[in-house]
Amino acid sequence: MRVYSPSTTLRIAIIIWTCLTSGKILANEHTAFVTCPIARDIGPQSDVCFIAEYNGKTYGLFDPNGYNRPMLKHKVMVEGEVIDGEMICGATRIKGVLSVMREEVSPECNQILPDDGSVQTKNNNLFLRMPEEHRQRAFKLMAQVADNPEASLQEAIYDPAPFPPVKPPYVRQKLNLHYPFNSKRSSGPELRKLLYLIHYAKFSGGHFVVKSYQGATRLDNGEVMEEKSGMAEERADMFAELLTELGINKKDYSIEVQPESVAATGVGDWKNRRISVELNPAE
Amino acid sequence: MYNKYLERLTKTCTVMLACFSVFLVDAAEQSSSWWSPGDDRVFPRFSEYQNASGRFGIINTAGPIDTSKHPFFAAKGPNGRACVTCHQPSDAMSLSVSTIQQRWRDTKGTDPLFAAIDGSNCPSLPQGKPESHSLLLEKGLIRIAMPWPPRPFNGKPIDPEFSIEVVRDPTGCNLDPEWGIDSPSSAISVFRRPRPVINIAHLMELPHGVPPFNNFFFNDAMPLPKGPDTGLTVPQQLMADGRGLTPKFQATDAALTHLQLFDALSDDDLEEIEAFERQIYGAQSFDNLAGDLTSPESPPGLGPQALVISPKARLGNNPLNKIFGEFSMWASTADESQEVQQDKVKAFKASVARGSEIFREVRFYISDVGMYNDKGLGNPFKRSCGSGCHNTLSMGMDLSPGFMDLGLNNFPWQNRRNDLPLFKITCRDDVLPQSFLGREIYTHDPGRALITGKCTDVGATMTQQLRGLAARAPYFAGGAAANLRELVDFYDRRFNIGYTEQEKADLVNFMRTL
Repeated sequence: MRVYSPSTTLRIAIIIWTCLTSGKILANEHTAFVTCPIARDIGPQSDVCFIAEYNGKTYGLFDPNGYNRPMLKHKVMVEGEVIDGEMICGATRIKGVLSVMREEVSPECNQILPDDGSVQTKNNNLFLRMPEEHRQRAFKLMAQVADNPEASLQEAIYDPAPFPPVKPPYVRQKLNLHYPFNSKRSSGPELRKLLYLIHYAKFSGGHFVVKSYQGATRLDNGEVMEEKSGMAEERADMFAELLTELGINKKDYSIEVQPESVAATGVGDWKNRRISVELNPAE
Repeated sequence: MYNKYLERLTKTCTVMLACFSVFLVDAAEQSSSWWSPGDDRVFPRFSEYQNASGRFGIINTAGPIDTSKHPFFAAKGPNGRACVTCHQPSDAMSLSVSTIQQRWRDTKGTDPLFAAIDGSNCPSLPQGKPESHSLLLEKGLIRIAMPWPPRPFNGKPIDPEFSIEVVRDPTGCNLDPEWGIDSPSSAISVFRRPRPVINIAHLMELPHGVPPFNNFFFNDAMPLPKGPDTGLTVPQQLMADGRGLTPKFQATDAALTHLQLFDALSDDDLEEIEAFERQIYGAQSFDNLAGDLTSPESPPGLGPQALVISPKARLGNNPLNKIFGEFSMWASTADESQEVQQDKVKAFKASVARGSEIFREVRFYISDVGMYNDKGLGNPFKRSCGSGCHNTLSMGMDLSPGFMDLGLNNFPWQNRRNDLPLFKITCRDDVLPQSFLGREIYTHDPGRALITGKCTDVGATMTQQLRGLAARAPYFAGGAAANLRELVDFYDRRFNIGYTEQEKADLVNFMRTL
């Protein structure tokens, strides 16, 4: 391990501090800021994408967790890592999470950039996202339509295959569900993982240990934004309701609430806004 | 190839037989399209009813039924009404304003349809005068008295996130000492169109192909509710505000309110009503210009048989399904030529085909829609009618399912309505505001918020199926659009789409054939 002298360490710290306070974000560095999103039109056959301008640079906003896209008329909190060289919506991508600030309406956030042809759109054909077997069937049906128009009414989008049975040995399962700032809405992909965990428990038996957290985010400008008081409890209540609705008996889970916000560090603070679930299989 | 011809032949024969059975069974029915409670009539396997654009067809998959004692058709309550009173077969199992006006003329306002309880603007008004029934006569609206504060839903008590104030009360009912918000029974009167009780089997199917939202409500990612009578998860598509989760639940509620029944319907009656509602499929079957919409040469998604064969609750916004199936057989390659212009039928069919394409392909900014843009889709969400809110195969409702405030009820987008009550909603400071209107909202109908008590739900109602449109004007829950052109104009203005006159005409022609 390389050891730096105290003066070198101090110099590095000063450089980082200067970068942070001047708002310049280095590649692969964490960033967090709140700003107005800007919608960008990218052609007649595509949905809009979103960018944000921050301290003189433009960033592409990508929603990795399914549907949590920015909204005009509301500010957006951006937390993540700058990925230099990776472009999204015609701008440098920030890999991380987005939170729409829904508590107040912000009418000033209302800009849509017209399509200038600079952003190439992906093929939106739903079939390309399907499993190969389903895709082939859909294409086969499409080829039949000219001779047999009724084929156009046949099922093209299918339910996913049910989870396969789980076989022993059963092992401890862990899952974190993350939430946007001041929100208790889970994302679709994480819900699917939770459903798998519940499916697993049907075979393994066992007890769920749930911990609900709320967080704070240190923005690049030094401001610390804390989630509203009681957020962890609201998440816990909603999660308990969710487990009950999904058929888990109260005796089979325990929920612990961490009412204090986890302290913000400015690096990956969004990971603190979570519910952690642990399934301990029956002996 | 042989199989294909066999299928076509079978389909043609089925339709011919069905049509033949109309002549045999329906001769009497065709003479009068109005179904009065207790009429000694047979509801046939197939029937058609005239409307201004052509005919609406209904397939009753269980075969002919004697309706004389059937609980959907028999008068059950003291006011002489039955379910069929407001769900007329001729009107796509809803009720058009032209039918209502005809009924007023035929009975001089004495039909049970005009019962004081909700067939008039308020029960306290002098009955039998057209002005006391103006909302029903002019807009096809039935009064719905919603308890305030909201009744516990699914057994969970509701603490409303907002207060409600009556700003304007043209019917007098919301400030009425016996029926209003300050009356002993404390109710909010809103006025809504009867929803079509047709293709219910499609509406009651949980969504497919959208995991995990086959079992979860998109907006809050919580499990969809369970029907109180079945214990099974239900999709919430049935009613405008989602208060009736199953056909039985809806029928029970309707019997106690609209029929003024003192006791709940019996289990047997409810079984019969639900079975009937699940076995009838309907769509426009004949168009005055395009002709027989069920012929093998017509687009396969037209006519009631399409609803029988179509898979239920599937995403239709894909290159195969195109929401209502293939329409290219009606497309004309020379649609602007003089020759085609002279051929009205060809021109109309080409217009319908173009309309189907505009419906599914022409994107616009869907923006500032409460309970829609804010459920994670982003604002704006650039979609077409078909790839946005009307994405369900063969039905055209929102698969997810979608309560939303399109601006039909809330200011500033709604068509100005001096005939409807106006409410001011003030949301508490500690709750999420309505995403685009904030914490002070003026609305003609708080919609879903009267069920959930949530500020974000103010003005939101469930998207509708698009079948049988020609038979059931006016449109939208508050009857804001008198005809399909007004419906298109509303969206064009609301979302600043900029449809051309030709595009508007194409959309109207397309929708009238559904």
